[in-house]
Amino acid sequence: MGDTATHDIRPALEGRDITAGYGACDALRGVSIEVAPGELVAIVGPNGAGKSTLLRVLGGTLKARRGEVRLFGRALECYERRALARLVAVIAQESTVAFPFTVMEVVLMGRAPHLAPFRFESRRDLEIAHEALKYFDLLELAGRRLHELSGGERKRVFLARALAQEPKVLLLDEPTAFLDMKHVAEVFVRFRELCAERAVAAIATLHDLNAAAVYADRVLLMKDGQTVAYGSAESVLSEGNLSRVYETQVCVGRNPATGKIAIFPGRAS
Amino acid sequence: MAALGGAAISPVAGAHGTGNATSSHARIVSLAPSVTETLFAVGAGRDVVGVSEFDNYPPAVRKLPRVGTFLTPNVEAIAALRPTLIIGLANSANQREIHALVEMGYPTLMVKEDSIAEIERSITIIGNRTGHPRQANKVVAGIQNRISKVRKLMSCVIDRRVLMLVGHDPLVAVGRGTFLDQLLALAHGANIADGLPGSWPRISMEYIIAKKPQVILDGQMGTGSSTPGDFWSRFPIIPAVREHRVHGYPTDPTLTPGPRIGETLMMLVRLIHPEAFGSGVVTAEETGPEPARIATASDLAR
Amino acid sequence: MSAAKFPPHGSAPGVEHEAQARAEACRNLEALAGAFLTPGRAAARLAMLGAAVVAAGAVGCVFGGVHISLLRALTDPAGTDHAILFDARLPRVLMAMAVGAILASVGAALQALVRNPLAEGGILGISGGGALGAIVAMIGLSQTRFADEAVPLVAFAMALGSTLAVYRLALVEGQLEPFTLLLVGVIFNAFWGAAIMIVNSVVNFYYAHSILFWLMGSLEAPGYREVATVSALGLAGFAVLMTRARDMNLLSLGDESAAELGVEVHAARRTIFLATSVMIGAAVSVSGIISFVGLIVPHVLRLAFGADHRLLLPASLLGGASFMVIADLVARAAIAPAELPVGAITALCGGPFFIYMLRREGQRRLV
Repeated sequence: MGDTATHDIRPALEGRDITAGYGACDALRGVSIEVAPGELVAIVGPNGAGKSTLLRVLGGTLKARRGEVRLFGRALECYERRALARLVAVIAQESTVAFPFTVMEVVLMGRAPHLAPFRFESRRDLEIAHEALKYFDLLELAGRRLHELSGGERKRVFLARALAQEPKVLLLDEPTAFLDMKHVAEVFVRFRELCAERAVAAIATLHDLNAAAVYADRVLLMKDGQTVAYGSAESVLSEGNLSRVYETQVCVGRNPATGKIAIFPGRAS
Repeated sequence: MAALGGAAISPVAGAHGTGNATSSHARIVSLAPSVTETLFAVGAGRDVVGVSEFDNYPPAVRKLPRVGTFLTPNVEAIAALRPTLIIGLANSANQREIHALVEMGYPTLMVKEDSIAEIERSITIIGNRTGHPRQANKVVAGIQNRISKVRKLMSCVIDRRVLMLVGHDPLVAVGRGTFLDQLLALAHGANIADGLPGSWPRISMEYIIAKKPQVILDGQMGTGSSTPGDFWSRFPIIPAVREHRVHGYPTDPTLTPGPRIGETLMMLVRLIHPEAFGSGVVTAEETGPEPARIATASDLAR
Repeated sequence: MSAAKFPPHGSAPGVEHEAQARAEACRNLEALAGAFLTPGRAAARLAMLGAAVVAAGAVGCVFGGVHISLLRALTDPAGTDHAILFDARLPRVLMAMAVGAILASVGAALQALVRNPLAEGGILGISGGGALGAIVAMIGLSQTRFADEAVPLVAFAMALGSTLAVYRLALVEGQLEPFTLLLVGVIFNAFWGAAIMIVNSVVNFYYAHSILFWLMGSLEAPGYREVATVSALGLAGFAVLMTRARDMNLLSLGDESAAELGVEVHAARRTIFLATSVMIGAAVSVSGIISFVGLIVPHVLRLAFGADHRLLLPASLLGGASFMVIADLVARAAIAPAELPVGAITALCGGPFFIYMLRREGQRRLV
């Protein structure tokens, strides 16, 4: 956390006053969020808060009923789909792959937005995919079929695919679900490195409040489709806010090892 | 009646009706077109109260109520007509309905028509059963007359290899075990489908080419068409095609057994050995009324 | 995980370092060989399948229900053997190739469309509609001169019509949902089947043969012109499918993921659906309903060569051609001189194969 010199003033991606939903109801009402290149913003909140819906709207998959989304200053609708795919990579919570593709093939699919219509992957595409595999420790698994892997390994494959897209903006829906402790920590370290080195802007929905506290530059706390608090982790993740939102006693302390705040479940009252 | 042998007859059951329905209160239901034709030919036409779905000869039949096909007779429709006699074909597919009718007490008569002999026998049986034995004998005599005439007049004619097709999709031929096969033989046609199993064998074009038929009778070409399309002209190596001896014929009534097989025989003779016909060996009086106009192979010329 | 950093852009090491990096990159990529599709591998495998097609064609021409001498057939143009080979057998072998190629490649494309390896042209109700059209036309136009030409046209029109109907009904809020599509297809199939049975029960039994012909499939007595028409329609449709081959790969990740990778999902679906219906319409109009080819061939090739549709589509095209030629050979030679309907042969292969596939799918967890 903390400012770095690579920050741009202008946000890479911003959503203003977004109202959106499925069917008759609105799952989101008047939510705003922004992320600048090099930043990692976490969206947290209980189930049903609208976190995934917000991500969908930001990624262009779901159209907002009110409000707008701007990518590098331009409205999202102005982008042609492939151009958008070259800039924004999305990692969904769950992904089913219908056919027995190999890990390498799935990661290579991340290069699709960059490939001319009838060309095969070039050497450079292969090298980028290779690097992405290495980054997430997948080289030995490159030839294995996706369905043979564990849930955590599959998750890393999709992360590698997003990386291979060489995006400027990353939208991650529960990126550390299914991952064990070791990999959770390393995924976040990687992403922070990525954000810093490549000036990538990242928004991630997290259920892990402690990870949000440690790794995110800013946090958006949501409940029932609305913003509860938005700002630095210290200010947003207060006992009062969290107790209200999660409807349970919460204790906020300080992690002696990292010096960051840490959240503990309190006694149920 | 059992002494007549060969034709399958189901026993008269129950108290309804007697062995011979001779009174004017006779009400006959026919389950097959050939049976209907036979009934009218032997003079029992006015006793017919119900016919099967596709009966259309003689024309008077068209106004009669229908009782289902010969494969699936409609038991209720038949019962509603209060028949005194039900005549159908001995066919394994409709045994259940027939059995039901027998159980209900209706006199039933099943006849077989797989060969010329059986057809003649069935005409005789139907005639006897409906009280018109003499007329029936006349009909049978007429058929036998034609057959013997043809035999005599064609005795020196050499057989021609012939293929008689029912349809194109798929290619289905008239095979052994049908009355048509016997008629073809009488008309001095050597049926190339005789070597195939079954009465209505599926035949491949390769087989047809290999067997080199000199005459092809194609039911699919029918009677209305004057240009049969280029189906056969694709195979000029077949003698029948090369020599313009591909003829269409009307599947109705040709494929129907019954009293008109004599006319069918004449038609076959005319198609297979036209020169024998034209040169006066078989004259117009002897062939009887002319069947519907048939397409000739000269129409194949493009 | 490794400690390697993701290389930043624009780094400029020295020349020697660069050569070293190149060599290492080569080694890295070699290690990955086999994990993905390269043009070289695709070409080699397609060449192999092409050779198989030629071989199958040769076998199909040499053998058959009637014994011929190849030598005589080739040297004596006026002889019977020549006529059998070139007028009856060769067009039939070519038609088998065309129909098999169409059914198999359409099967692969439809499986990508509905994201389910158990989908196929027969299942989506397209073949059934075509068959019903053919049967009605055949009975209605029987014994007229139009029969031979009109029946395939009506079959084709009905196949397209039923495709459009299925498409329309399966659209949910403007989107073609795979699951709904499968359901609607199954229902349409049941409907066409019922309609055909009704027709069968009301018409003269002389049509029973022909109705069965359309239901069980047959490649009998095609002319070269028919072969050319079906092949042309098939190849045109296939070319369209190939333009969407990469999209098919991405579609198997799910609609949202595919869209996020730049695919215009609805346009792609529409294109694939229409191309496949033209192709199936052409095939059904001449050969009736032949099932399971679109199931067996793509599945076997997927197991052997991988799931990448850029190879799977053309491979299915070629594999289907070979498969169909052999199936038709069995149909015409097994109980010669009588013929089996070729759809029965493919169904006999397909039934057990389908059960095997169901068990495999059941054991394997889809991601």
